[in-house]
Amino acid sequence: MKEKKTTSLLNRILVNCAAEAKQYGSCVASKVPEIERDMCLKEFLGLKNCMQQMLQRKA
Amino acid sequence: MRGFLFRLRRINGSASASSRLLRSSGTTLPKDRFCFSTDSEGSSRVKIFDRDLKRKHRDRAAWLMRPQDSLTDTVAENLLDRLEDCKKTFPTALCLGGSLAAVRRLLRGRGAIEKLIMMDTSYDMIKLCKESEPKMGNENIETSFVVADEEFLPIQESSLDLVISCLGLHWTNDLPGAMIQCKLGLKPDGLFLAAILGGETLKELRIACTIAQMEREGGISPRVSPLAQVRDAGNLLTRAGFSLPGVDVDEYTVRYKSAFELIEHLRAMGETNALLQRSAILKRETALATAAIYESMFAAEDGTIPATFQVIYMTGWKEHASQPKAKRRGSATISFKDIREQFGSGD
Repeated sequence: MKEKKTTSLLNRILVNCAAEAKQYGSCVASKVPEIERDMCLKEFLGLKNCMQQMLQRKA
Repeated sequence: MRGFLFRLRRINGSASASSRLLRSSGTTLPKDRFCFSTDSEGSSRVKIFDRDLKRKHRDRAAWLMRPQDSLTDTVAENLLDRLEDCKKTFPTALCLGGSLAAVRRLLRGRGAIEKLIMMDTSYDMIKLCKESEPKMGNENIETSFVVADEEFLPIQESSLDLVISCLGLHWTNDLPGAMIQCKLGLKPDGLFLAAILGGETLKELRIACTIAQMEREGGISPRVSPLAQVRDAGNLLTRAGFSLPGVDVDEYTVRYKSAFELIEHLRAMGETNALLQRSAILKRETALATAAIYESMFAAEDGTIPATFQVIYMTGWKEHASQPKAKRRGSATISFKDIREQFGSGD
């Protein structure tokens, strides 16, 4: 039974996009406990961009 | 009686495999006096966990399992240590699923066990234990392997001296029922030793998952199972009918490089989400968001993230005349006033 490689891929994304992830994380952490949908959308889009770049590079 | 064999077949999906195991191990299970009733199945029972999925998780864990996992080894070692505190010997023992491989490996002859029954819902896990049996050193233990569900123990009443369950019972739908069956399987003056995960376990993951889902998706679905609280453990033991109940708690904090490493570890232990209410979808974005939030909220200075595992150790004995009992009310012969006078009042 082969182990699916999803977590190691996500790990690599997290390592490569560490700066964006940190920005997003600190945005959310500062707003806790009042959380609303898409309240840190800008930072998350930065992280999502970085993730998609990584996936394009791989594919 | 026919009902029991039918249930085993349903649980395993391969009757021939299970009956082969039973026959080859030499323990013929008598068809009378089991610890569960086959009528009223599924009538008023609350189903929280998907037992089928948990079995598949454990099949996968049998493949992914690390040969020496520090967390499960620590818990198993702590549990088995208690055997050394007892003067009693336990010739017949049952080891219920969870980290039974770790328990078997770390047993090292404690408790003077002569006959050990290893039980798990997953056939692959039992096969793994059976295959690593020759490497266990010669401890003169006759082991038998059974594939069965903890909630439907195929054990004759009053036939065991010891029941050990290391990190397995927190996945049962009916924990009091499972404990009652364990008690019924024990001989008088038999010991029940269990380690389950407590309510504080993975609280950081719980928080990070909730926040990420709220921020990304606007709603939440349960990602961490409901776990027993410490204050309920004592009640569970007395409700099951054990005497001399003992509960203690240990909190282990394990550090990981990232949230994904934590998930991989949980997968290797077979502890991933099996709630019936779970959402089958985890979007890549939500997973990434969870990891980012986990790091920002809980990371230590060196960049590692902690994860709490609260383990509740429960011990209980099946009642026997030799056990000390609380005296009857009104049977005191000395009053506190006399003691106070003798030792002087005050502190």
